[in-house]
Parts: sequence; structure tokens; C-alpha cells
Amino acid sequence: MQKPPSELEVRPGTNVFSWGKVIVKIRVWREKEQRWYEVEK
Amino acid sequence: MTASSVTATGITFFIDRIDDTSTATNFWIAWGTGGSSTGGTATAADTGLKAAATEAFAAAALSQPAVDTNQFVATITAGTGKTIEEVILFGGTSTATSVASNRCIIRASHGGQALATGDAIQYTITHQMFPT
Repeated sequence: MQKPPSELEVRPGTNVFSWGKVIVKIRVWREKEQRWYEVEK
Repeated sequence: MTASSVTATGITFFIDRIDDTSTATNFWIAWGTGGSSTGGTATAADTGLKAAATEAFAAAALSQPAVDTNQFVATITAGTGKTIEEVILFGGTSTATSVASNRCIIRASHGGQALATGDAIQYTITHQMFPT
């Protein structure tokens, strides 16, 4: 479980913050078939 | 395979948002064909698309599905047949015409999507920030 910021232990050289997680989801529209396709990330 | 990264310019964007010095008022999504070329895999050093395609940028709809998460959604339609391999999210003005004058926040390279004229990709870019 993540600790709230006030409980984070801060030490020199230790990253206490992350730029986090990026998820890119893609759906493709096929004009000829007139439908969407879900694409795996 | 998808590789995605918050970029260094994206980090400056977040910092500027906090002290209210960011001039970006809108978010845009753009796509390109350079995801599999040499140096095409997304990294934090990216400042834009590797090989921009000709289609106009799409305004991204922003929502906050969780307190630590932003989500950007936009759809771009192919004007001609092409294989799309990369996408960026950037901040700009309401009439953004170039990425260079704005800020690339996130870039992703992904498996090529071969598109015919009129085909489209809807991108949903989700960014969650959290303490480690």
C-alpha cells in the first residue's frame, strides 16, 4: 500500500516521486468496414 | 510493442503548471510514421514526433478519472494510406500549428497500424502520477 506523502521517507539520492505510468490505448476505425477494432497496447 | 514515456519537456511542463508559468491552454495529439525507424522508440529525451504525418493535430479531450490520473482522448483520420507508428501529446494554444513551438509531454511508439484513406485511430493516453 502506498504511504501518504507525509509518511514518505526522504533520503539523499532516493527518488520519492515518479513521473508515473503512461498507458496508450489504441482503437482503429476501418472506414471500409464501418467498425472500430480494439488494438492491444 | 508500445514504448511510452513522459518526456523531459513534459516534466518542465508539470513544473510550469505548478508555478503558473505555462502558456499552454490546450492539449493536442499528433501522430507519425517513425516509431520503428532508428531512434524511433519513445524515450524521455524526445521532443516531438520522429516522422510527423501530414494530418492535422487533433484536440485532446481531457478528463480526470482519478485524483492522480489525467486522461487525454483524440481521434485522427488518415487522409491517405499510411502506417502509423507513434503518437505524442503536447500542450499548446487553441490554434497549435507546430509542436516545436509548444511542448511535447508524452511520446509513445507503437506497433504499426496500416491505415487506408478514411481509417482512423482513437488514442486514449492515460497518465498516472504517484509517489514511489
